[in-house]
Amino acid sequence: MVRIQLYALSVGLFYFSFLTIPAIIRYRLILTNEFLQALVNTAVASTFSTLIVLPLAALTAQGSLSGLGKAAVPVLTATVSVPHTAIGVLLSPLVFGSGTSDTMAAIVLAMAVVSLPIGFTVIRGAMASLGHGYFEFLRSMGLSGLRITALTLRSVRTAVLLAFLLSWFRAFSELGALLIVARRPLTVGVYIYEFFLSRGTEFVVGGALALVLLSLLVGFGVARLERDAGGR
Amino acid sequence: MLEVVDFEVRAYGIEIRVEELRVSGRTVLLGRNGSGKTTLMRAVLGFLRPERGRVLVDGSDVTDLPPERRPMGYVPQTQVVLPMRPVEQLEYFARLHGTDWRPVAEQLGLLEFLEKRGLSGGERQLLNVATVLLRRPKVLVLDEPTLNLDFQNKLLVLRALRSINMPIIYVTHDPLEALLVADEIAVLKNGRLEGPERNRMREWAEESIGKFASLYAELLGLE
Repeated sequence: MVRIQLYALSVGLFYFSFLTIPAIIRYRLILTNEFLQALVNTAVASTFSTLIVLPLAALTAQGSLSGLGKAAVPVLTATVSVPHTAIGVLLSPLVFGSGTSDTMAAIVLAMAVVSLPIGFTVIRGAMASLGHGYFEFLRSMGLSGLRITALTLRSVRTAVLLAFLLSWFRAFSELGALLIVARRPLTVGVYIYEFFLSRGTEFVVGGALALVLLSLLVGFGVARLERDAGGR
Repeated sequence: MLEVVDFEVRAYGIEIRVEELRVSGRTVLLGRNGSGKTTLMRAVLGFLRPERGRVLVDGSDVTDLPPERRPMGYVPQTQVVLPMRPVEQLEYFARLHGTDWRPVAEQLGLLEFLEKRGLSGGERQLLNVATVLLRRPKVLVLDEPTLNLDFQNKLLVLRALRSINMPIIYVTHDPLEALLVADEIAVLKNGRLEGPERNRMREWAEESIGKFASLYAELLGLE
């Protein structure tokens, strides 16, 4: 048992080192003002996107647990396996048609589309783990609609928090769809892509490392939440 | 009284037919695992649509009513844990149904563990039974309420259920438990409901369990 745990720890450390150490050794670490501005833009857009996505994900998750609502599952999770540039292309008629390309609104829309499946899947999984007896008990108590939703969300509150974090970071890390519909205001993914092409690796390594460290912190947070959630 | 008439359910590869079932006391629905007991009850409660048949409560046809509007209380076999302390759970539903939770809690002997954080399985089931009673249903459906409970918790639940005076369908796979609980026993076998027939062995079962419980208590050094 201890051996397999040591193995898992080694893989984790190797993975992290593999990503970071060569870059640290080889390049100077530069954080530009543009990067910091892009970081703020991305964080703001991700927050708006997640605030839109989370209630939508929660309601859809509950509706998708039974009957006709189950049909929502393959539809909402299909985009996970589609390259996000394709999603950007599919969003482009709407964005270009409404004249919102290269605006914060387009960024939030693209982020919401790609992060909805994550929030939906996490919350749905937690709700499903409550079992149909949970919902039948509440219905036989005379509850329906939003009352059941409110109680259910309280029952899976750790999963809702987890869904918030994962959706937020999925939105934060979006690049493909943004390259098509909104390169400005600058977000971190677009910043790294564009500055890598125009100024070279050294200019963006510092930003990339900062993002990995930030994600690492969140990774610990998510692991803690998953532990506390105990399957919910 | 609950009446299930000319009822047929098909779900999960099971087909169940009930010509007539009348429940006015404690009727145990007995059957093996996978025989369709829960499926039948879920259809009677309105969670599954029957192929045909009617469900009547005190003479009113409730077949087309959604579960939340049927005057039937339901405690499922999986233990429902709501996101609130036991006393908050009772307060919440008592407020919702405009009633007082204290008499029900007292009746089921719940008062002593209402402030506890972690309830035992038996205490949890009793809490849920008490919660259901706050809605003042006309029929109570208890689906394997003692499933996965240890002996003492089983006795805790069974003792408390004696204080409930309304038509009850008690679902179980355990014949001995059926003998302890039932006024009448109906057996679900091969998709057909046989009975119900009057339980003539309750006294014997109570006496036998009483002796066994004493021995068990003695062995464990309990009172």
